[in-house]
Amino acid sequence: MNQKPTKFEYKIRSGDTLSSLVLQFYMAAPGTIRYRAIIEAIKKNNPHIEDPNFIKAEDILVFPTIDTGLDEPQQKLFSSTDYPMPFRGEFNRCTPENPFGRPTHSVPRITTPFISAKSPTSIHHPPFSNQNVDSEERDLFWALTWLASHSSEVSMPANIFAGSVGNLLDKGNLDLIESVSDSYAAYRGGSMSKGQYDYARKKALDTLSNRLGPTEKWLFNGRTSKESIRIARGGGVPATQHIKANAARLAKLAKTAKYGGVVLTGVGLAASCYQVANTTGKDEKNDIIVESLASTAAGGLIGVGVGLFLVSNPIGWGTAIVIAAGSAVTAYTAGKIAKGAYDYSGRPVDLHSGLGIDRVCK
Amino acid sequence: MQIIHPELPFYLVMVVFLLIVVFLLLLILMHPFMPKKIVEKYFKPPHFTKVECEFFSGFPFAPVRSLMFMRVIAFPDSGKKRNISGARELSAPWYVLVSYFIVAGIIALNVIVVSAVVIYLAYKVVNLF
Repeated sequence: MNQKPTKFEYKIRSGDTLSSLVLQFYMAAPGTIRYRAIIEAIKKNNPHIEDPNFIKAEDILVFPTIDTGLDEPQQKLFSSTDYPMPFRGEFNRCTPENPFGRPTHSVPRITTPFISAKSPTSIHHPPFSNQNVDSEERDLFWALTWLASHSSEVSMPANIFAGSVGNLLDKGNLDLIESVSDSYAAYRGGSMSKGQYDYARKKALDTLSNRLGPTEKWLFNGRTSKESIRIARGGGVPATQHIKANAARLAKLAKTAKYGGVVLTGVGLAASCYQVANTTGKDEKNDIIVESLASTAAGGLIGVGVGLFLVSNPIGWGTAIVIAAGSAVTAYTAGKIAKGAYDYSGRPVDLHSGLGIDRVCK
Repeated sequence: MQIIHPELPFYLVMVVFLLIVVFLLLLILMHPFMPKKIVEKYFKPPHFTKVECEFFSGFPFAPVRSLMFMRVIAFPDSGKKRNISGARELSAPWYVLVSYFIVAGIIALNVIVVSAVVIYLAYKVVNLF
C-alpha cells in the first residue's frame, strides 16, 4: 500500500529561525492561532528539542505535513486551505500591488513529503519559498509581520509614553514656567524686589522640578529647569527669550504627544485589520474585530474621561504616568473582556461577515 | 439550572460599546453648538495655558475642550480652579440639559468600564494563586 508519509525532516541552516521556517513551509505568520497550532505540532514531533525558539544549525527537525496528531480544531487550523503550502517557489516578488509577495493564484495542496518515507533520515532542503525576494524586503516583511502580531505590546508603552508627556505638559505645570516670566516683568516694573523675584523664581522652578521628577532633564534637553528657565543677559535678545523658547518647545512636544496618540491608535487598528485579512478562521477574525473595536472605544472613552478629570487638576510625573498607564491598560483589558464575553456567549453574531470588515481589510 | 443566559455577557458588552459610541458621537455632534461666547471668554490665558489652547484646538481633541466646558456648565463649581464662573449663564437652557446628560453619561460609562476592568484584573490575580 502506498501510504502517504506525514512528516519530513529538515536540517537547520545558519540563519534559520523557527518562525521563518513555519512561514516558508506553512505560510503562517507569527502570532496567529494557526501559527501556534503548527508550533504545537512541531513540538510534538520533536520532543528532543527543549525550546523550539532556540534551534541550532545542523539540528534536524521533523516537520509534519498534514496528519499532525493534533486534536480536531487544531488540525483544522493547521491544515487550513486558505494558505496552501507554497513549497515550489510560489512566493512572488514583493510589488506595490502585492507588498508581501503572497501567491496571487491558488496553489494545489502539497501532500508529498520532501523525503521518501522509505528513507526517513535522508535530508532534502525544500525549495526556498521566498527565494526571489530581496533580503531587505524580507526584513521589511518580517518587521511588518512582527508589528502586526505584537501591535498591542508596541502600542501600549508608546501610548503610555505619549499620554504621560501630554499629561505632564498640562496647565498647572506650564503655568509655572510662565510665572517666572511674569515675576521678572513685575521685578522690572518695580513692583517686586530682586529678593522677591529670586524667591518666586526658585519656588516656581522647585515645584516644577518636583512635578516633572526624572522626566525633567529629558524635557529640558539634558538640563534642569533652573538651568533652562533663566533670564537672557546680553546677546541682543529679549530678557525672557529662554523662557519663551522653552515654553514654545514644550508646546511643540505636547502637540507631538497629541498626534502621537492618534497615530498609535491608527497603527493599532491597521495592525488589527492586517490580522483580520491574514487570519483564516472566521471565529478568530471575529475575536480580533470584537477586541479591537472594544479597546478602541474604551480608549476613546477613557481619553475624554481623563480630559474631564484634568480640567482642574495639575499633576506630577508619577500621576501622569499612572494615568497614562491606567488608560492604556484599561483600554487593552476592555478589549480582552469584550472578546471573553463574545467567546463565552458562543459568538452569537458574525461581525466579520455582517460588517464586511474582512473585505475592507483585504 | 442556568442562571445567566449564555448570550447575556456579549449583549451587555455590546450595549456598553454602543453607549460609548453614542456618547462620543453626541459629544462630537454637540461640539459645534458650544456657545462661542464661552470659548471666546474662557479658552485663553489665564484660564487655559497657551499649550492647552494649542492642544485642545482642532482635530481630535477640540471636543474634549467642549466636554470640559460642558462640565463647567453642568456643574459650575468645577470651574473654580480655573476661575471660570458664569459659563452656565452664557448657555442656552437646552445646552445646559445636554451638558448634564453628556457629562453624566460619560462619567457613568467611565465608572462602568473602569469597574469592569478592575473586577476582571482582580479575578485574574486571585486565580493566579
